[in-house]
Amino acid sequence: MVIYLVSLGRTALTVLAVVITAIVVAGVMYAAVPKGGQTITQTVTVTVTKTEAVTQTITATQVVATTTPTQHVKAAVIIRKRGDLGFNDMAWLGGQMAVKNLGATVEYFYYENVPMAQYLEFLENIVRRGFDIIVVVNFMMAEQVAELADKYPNQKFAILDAVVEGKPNVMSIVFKENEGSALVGALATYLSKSGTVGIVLGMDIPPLWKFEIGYKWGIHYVMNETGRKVKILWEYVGTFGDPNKGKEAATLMLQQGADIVYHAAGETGLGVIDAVYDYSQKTGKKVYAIGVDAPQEWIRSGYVIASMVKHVEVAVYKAVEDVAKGSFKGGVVALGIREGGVDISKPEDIKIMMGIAVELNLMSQDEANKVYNEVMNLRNSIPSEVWDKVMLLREKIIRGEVSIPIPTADTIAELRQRYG
Amino acid sequence: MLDLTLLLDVVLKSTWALMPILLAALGEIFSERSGVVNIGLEGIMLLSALAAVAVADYFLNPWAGVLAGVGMGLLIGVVHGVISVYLKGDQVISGIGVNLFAYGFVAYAIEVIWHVRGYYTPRYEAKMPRLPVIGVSPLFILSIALAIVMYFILYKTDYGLKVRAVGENPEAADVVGIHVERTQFISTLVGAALAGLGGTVLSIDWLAAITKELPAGRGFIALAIVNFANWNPTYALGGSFVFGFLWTLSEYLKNLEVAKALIPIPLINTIPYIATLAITAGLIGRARPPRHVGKPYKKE
Repeated sequence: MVIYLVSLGRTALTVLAVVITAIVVAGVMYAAVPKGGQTITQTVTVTVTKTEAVTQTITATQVVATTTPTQHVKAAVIIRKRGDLGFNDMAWLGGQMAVKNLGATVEYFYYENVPMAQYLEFLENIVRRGFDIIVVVNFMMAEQVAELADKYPNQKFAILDAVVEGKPNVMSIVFKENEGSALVGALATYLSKSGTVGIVLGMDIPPLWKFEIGYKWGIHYVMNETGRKVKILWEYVGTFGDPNKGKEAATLMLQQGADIVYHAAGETGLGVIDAVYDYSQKTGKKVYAIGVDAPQEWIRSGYVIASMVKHVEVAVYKAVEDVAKGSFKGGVVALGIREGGVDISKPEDIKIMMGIAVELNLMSQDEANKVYNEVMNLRNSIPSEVWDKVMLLREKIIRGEVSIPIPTADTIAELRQRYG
Repeated sequence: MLDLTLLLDVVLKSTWALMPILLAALGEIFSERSGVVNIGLEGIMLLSALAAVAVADYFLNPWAGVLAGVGMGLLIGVVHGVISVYLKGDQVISGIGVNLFAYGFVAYAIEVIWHVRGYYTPRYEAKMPRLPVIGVSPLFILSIALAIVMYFILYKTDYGLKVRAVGENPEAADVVGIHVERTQFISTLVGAALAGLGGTVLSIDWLAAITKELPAGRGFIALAIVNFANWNPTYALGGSFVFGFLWTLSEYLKNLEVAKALIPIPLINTIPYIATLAITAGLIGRARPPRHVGKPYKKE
């Protein structure tokens, strides 16, 4: 019939109408068919509020903050924009902590609408406004920071996730992702029932090797502890921006028996979380993802068991604090578990994120509570002895009893051989 | 090493990689057959992916999302069609415009609609359910059917003949009484709507998520497939399958310890692209685009 209508030529637009109607009808019919799924209602027991969440972190750091007399600091924090429930919101939180604990004045600058070619101008304008410290939460600005550090030797800078060497007025703050990844690797191995765990990574570049080797190290640590052999599946998908590809990679791992998949792949990693959800739905097996950078449990609550969190707020706070105490030094500062720079996600982290989500109107209070409860239900399903063992490893790393290799171009091949 | 179940699994999996590319390529074929190039496939896919997620998440019905995705495609098709068919604008520039607009608009819209940044994952109910038993998407069946239907329309019907005539020689078509502009406009609409369906597959069928650059170059791969397919819908089906198969296979290879040890990982990632390029290069001698493609038709 469609073909006949088309051949009339004159009424060809009708064809489109027919096609669309057909899709509508099919859709409505499909939607009318009762589905197998069931609605889960849950009583809300925990109330997450932003004040509670924010004060918690602040009291945690207060002890350190009051030990030495501090001077008033005027700080600029440069972030993309608020609302990602990740990196940028955490950086903002760091600024807020500096306001509360150090009495600093913090101004936020958003680079989201600044084209890359104008980064220098953007930064220079901020320099001219006169800040004691400029904290740049964008590793893409490293070159511009280096240039301005030479031009304005009295201006203090801090840059996160990038290394600007040889400038006395630039503090480069990097994170020991290998330590955090080792923790989630250990957790995955303790939890894995199938004896296979996976990791999906973005591009095969040195910063990502830290995630890969750290994770594998954690798995090997547990294998040595328990004497149980665990198979590691790992893959570099080659991109940070293709979630569909990440999904295929993760699905493959799940099909090969992996029941926990960690990801360090930016947006590609969204596909990993989706794959875990899909696979659970399809097969009824209990499989989980491990999030990265931010506490990502909220993305698909009930399917992300933990996250390797980079505490950007700690880094931002440290930069401001160092200036306030007069202990600011240029050079590279690597924040590991001991310094609070990386860690496995804690319930407070999720609470803080949900608090921010409510505050920014990303979620209603009810939704936030629901997500938080689901996350905590999953978390509480982990046996406490597993947590104890993971925390034991955490202690060992903090005390320096074990050290996790940092891969370089020279050692990566050898490390891959050793850790599979 | 090569057992049959594994092969079957790769084939079934490649239906995912195949769908968005096939749909966009089919749309482009129909459009180019009438003489209108639309290099804005990537942008249309991205915009439709956004519309599909937004509507499916709102109504909690994936089919409403499909409608929205196709509708968004049509909307962009109207814009591109008016510019390139009626206003005789440069089709390539209009297409680039669509792509640039999409990248900016979607990043902005994600924030405006959901107040989140960078990406949004819709609720479970918004996701397209799978067909029972074989586990493929219902849209996969639709895609295959569309390829076959389009072949019949283009080669077995009067209307198809008119479309091809307009793309080959619009002056002659005009002389025999074919409405050149209207035919081109309709083809552009159909083409954009199909690309929109491709984008919908990406966001609520294959995955349940929208990001700033979700298609990740698939719109441009589709353009290459159009060449490879010699502007023939059934060849496009084959071409998309070859690409989808190799794409999925390369994911498998990366999981094999043997392959990982022998071949650098970035090189494995290039397999589907190089293979598609090689096949295209091998066949390019035979490929012949519609003669009047890309040029606006102006009546003397």
